[in-house]
Amino acid sequence: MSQQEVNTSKSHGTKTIVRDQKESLKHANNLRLRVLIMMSLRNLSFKKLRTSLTIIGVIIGIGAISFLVSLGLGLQNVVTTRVIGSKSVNTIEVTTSKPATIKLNGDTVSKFKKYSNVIDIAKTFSFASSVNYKNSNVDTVIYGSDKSYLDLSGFQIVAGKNVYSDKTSDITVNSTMLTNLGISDPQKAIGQKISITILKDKNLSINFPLTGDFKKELTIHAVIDSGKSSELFASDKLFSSLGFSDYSQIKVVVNDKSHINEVRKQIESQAFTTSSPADTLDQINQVFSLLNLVLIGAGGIGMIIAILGMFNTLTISLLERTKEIGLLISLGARQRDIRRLFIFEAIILSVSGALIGMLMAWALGLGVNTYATSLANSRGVTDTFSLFSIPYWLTLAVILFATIIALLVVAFPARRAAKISPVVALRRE
Amino acid sequence: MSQNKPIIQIQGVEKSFILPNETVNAVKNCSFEIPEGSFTIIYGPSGSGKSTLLDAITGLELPTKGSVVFKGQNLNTLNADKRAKFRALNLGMVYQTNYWVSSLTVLDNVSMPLYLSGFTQRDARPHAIEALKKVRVEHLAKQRPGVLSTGEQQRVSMARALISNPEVIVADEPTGNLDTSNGDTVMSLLSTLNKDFGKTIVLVTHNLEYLPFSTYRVQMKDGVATISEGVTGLSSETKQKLSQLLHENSMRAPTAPTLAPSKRTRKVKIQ
Repeated sequence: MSQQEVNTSKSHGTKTIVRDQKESLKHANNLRLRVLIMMSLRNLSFKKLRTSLTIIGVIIGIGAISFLVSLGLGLQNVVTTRVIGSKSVNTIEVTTSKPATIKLNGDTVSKFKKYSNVIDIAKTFSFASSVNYKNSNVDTVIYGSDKSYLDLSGFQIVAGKNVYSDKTSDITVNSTMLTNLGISDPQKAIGQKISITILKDKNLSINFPLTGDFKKELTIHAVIDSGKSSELFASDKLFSSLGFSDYSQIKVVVNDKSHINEVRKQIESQAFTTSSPADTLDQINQVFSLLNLVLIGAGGIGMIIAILGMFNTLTISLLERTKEIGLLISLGARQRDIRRLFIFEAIILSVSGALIGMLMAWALGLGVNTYATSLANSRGVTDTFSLFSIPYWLTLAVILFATIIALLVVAFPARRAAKISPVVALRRE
Repeated sequence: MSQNKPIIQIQGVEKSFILPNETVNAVKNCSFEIPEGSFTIIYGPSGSGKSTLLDAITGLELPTKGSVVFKGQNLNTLNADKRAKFRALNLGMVYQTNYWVSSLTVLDNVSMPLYLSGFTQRDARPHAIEALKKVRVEHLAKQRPGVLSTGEQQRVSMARALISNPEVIVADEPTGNLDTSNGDTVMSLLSTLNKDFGKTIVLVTHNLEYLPFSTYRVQMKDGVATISEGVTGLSSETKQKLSQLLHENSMRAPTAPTLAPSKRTRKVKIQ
């Protein structure tokens, strides 16, 4: 209610007041956030050159850090993909070093299934074998794997529909095997019959229930990429139906990576040997953590220069605006209003620079990724290369980092500004 | 003593400054009351302590001893932020040198006391334009204050002092940097605010020519205040000039800006 309205109310006999002196001091409204932001923006745009140069400094600092960190993360992803592939890191590979005494069989599987946090168990047999196709003969390893095992292995299909077939007459071969057998077109290999021989003498270390060698003609139903050595994958049922019971390897799948060590300890206590893609992943992560720190350090040099630039800008701004601050305090600004004014200016400088820097780092990374992919494609590699990776958390982390930097840089000038005496400031001349 | 009740009570105010080799007593045991609706002039030579006394009256500085009471509120009991809020709500300030937030327009600078009281730009704009109209510089609203002449700046400064419709307008040597014509205009504006709209004016000056405007006078000499009151005799020439200026600068009644109803605004109703 206005003073005039107050007077009018009084003249009508109603004793209404807006607030008495003490109430007004207690409940008076304060400088609105939007006005504060307006004032900060106006001040920054008033000194265009200085503001632009400061923001460019932040762009370079944040851009360099973002670019280098995204390179580190991108390389880490590339290496992880190449090494781990699509294998689940939540698996433990279990083998036995003494197959004659410590057996990996149905009983073992049943026992492992009872361990807490175990959600699946994948099994495979493996035998030394030879393959005959027309006039070609190749010595190789034949696996008898269940569907889970093949799924966990994450093989890429080159021809055919599924890696796994439950038919005991089907076989999956890898590209290397096809090449060794003299079949150049994977599509033409589908439906071809190959002859498999497993010699009992060559598999003495395992329990071989057959009285003689195993010989069978199998039909190729899929071609996969699985490595540089020749490999064949038949259904586990082919061998279990013949009486084979000792697996060469099983994969224990746990519900979370954090439980791997706990389950491993239980398995190893049974004298089995274990390994996990998580081991490799941890090693990769360790190496790249170090690399990322080095890259952040390199980018940090630019950031230090940007921080000094920001500090310089804010301090000069403080010195230039001493009278303005004195005026604002004399007109009714609180110390915290003055502090907030400087803090907003610092945050605007820092966060706007950070966002532009991130955008430029992302654009540059995207350009390099596109170039690398097109270069690889021109040389016959079908994969997409992501040498630079900016995950969403990196964007958030950089914005948070920029805000923290702004708050640290502005702490001193803002505190000094808030402590300016209006009497001294306005009587400088 | 004036019949009007006091709006500001200065009670035994002393202000000392400790310098490396001496202690300067700028204001010595001043006690007087500024009547509500008075045109008070604090005058005296340079270094007499009048501006220091004004700083204590406005709460910009606390006195070394004694107290300043504004409508029952002892400013000594308020911290710096509360004294700032007190100024925003109750005082309009005009300085000898015009200080501005140089990055803002005239409109925003005039709106500043309202911004500091919680107004948004949209809410403050009509009041700022109204205040500029009162001092006849509304056409300068979009300019930056730094490009204006000294006289224009002083008018804009008056508009800033008027915008929140304060009860007291404090002017520290407002004519010090102006030529005679602009100085007289400012004085006539202050006189109009006092006579026609009942504003209490507290003016600090060393120019004795303006004493006839006053109804209450505080003479400062070596930090000691001597009080005299009542309208002094004006020369016929001064009367004529004053009458002409008052006519030229006639203004509409100022109204207090109000904020749109919000949770922040608290109203107290007494039956």
